[in-house]
Amino acid sequence: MTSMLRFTDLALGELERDVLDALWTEPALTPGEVHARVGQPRGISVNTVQSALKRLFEKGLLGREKVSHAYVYHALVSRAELQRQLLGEIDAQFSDQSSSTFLAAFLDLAEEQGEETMRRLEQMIAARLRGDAS
Amino acid sequence: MIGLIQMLSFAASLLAFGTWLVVVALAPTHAPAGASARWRLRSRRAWLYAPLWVPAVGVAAMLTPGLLGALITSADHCLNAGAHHAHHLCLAHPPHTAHQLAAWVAPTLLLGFAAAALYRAARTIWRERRIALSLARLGRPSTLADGVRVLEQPLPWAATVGWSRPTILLTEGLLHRASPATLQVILAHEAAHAARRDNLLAALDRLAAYLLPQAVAAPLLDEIDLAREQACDDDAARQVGGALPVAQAIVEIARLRMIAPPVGLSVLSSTLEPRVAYLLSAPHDAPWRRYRALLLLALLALACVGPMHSASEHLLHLLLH
Repeated sequence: MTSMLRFTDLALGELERDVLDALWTEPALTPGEVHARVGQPRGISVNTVQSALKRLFEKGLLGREKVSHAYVYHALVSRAELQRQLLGEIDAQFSDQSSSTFLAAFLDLAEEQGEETMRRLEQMIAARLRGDAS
Repeated sequence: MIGLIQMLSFAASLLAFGTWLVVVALAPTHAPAGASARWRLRSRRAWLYAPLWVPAVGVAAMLTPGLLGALITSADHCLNAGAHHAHHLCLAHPPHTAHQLAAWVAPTLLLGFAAAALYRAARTIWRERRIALSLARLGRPSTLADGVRVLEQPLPWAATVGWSRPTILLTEGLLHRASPATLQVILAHEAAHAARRDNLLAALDRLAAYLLPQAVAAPLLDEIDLAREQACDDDAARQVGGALPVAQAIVEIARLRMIAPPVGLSVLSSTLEPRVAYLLSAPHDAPWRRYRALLLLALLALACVGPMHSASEHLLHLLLH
């Protein structure tokens, strides 16, 4: 689970997310096994699941080995690592903009204040608390 | 009728270009002190969207005398006006097709410029949507509330993601380290974003901003972003019973960030200080202030309908002959 991986496209559809979920639960699965866990409940074909596996492999999120005549897939990144990469992707693509158009954060990722600013804000709050109490 | 469409699109493109010049030259860079977040949000959006709404209002004003004359007094506005030139802006007596090249070229050029800018903006926004949606999909459902998902990240962080059915994202770092009171404030703040459809409006703001030069659009977007956060702080304050707990929550999260593992991310600009100062200042919303600007604008528009109609007809006549 390395953090040095570079991905061309990290965007995930719901099927791709479910496939990854299955491969984060099991160490390695064949397309048939992934289909049994993810495809059958959705009523989709093995081919559709295979396409999703191939896309995830091409994105660098899955690895695969040929065993007999079929590929066996395994996850190359953990859920937490992928989340971290996505946050980094948001940062890299949109750092030149003042605000996001799809994501509103309580405090921005970059919100870093100096000790002096923090002390001043805490003093303002303390003064207000004293004022409310008196 | 084609003649009327030709005249109106020509007039609308002139108005759009004129408004664009006014916004570029005069758009304010700082909000007046003491204004409420909602007032600032509306005022900045009025500037940002001016190149779109001013031409729309202008076209409506140009058509109003003819429409009112026919609907209310059954009088023929064109005959009453006593002029029968070729550019009467009237639905009952649409002008003949003018065949002037300028009348088509100006709107076509303007629409072409706007379409190119909006296409670039839409591509950026769509790319951002795909990434943010993927992040939301990777969160685990939470028992805290419907529509809340948890990310396995140590950084204390919360966000609302999505346009039509927003999802609230919280990190494990936040859940483990923030106090229950702070968590309540954060959920109230993020719920306010979701209820107000802030992300969808932010996407529309960005689209409109692409029509303006970056140097003019960036400060407007910064102010809109800050006012949006402050409006959600106001909503959260109403829900948790005061502005002070919200200010405390913001500072608490900022403190936790200082000791959180570094992530090296720098997505957005800093809003911490103005948000805390705003929450701790005196009450902001003067009820009269909310409607004063709207009322003034409505009165001004009503007073200008007749002169605007006549002036537009004369201007079109001058420009196209």
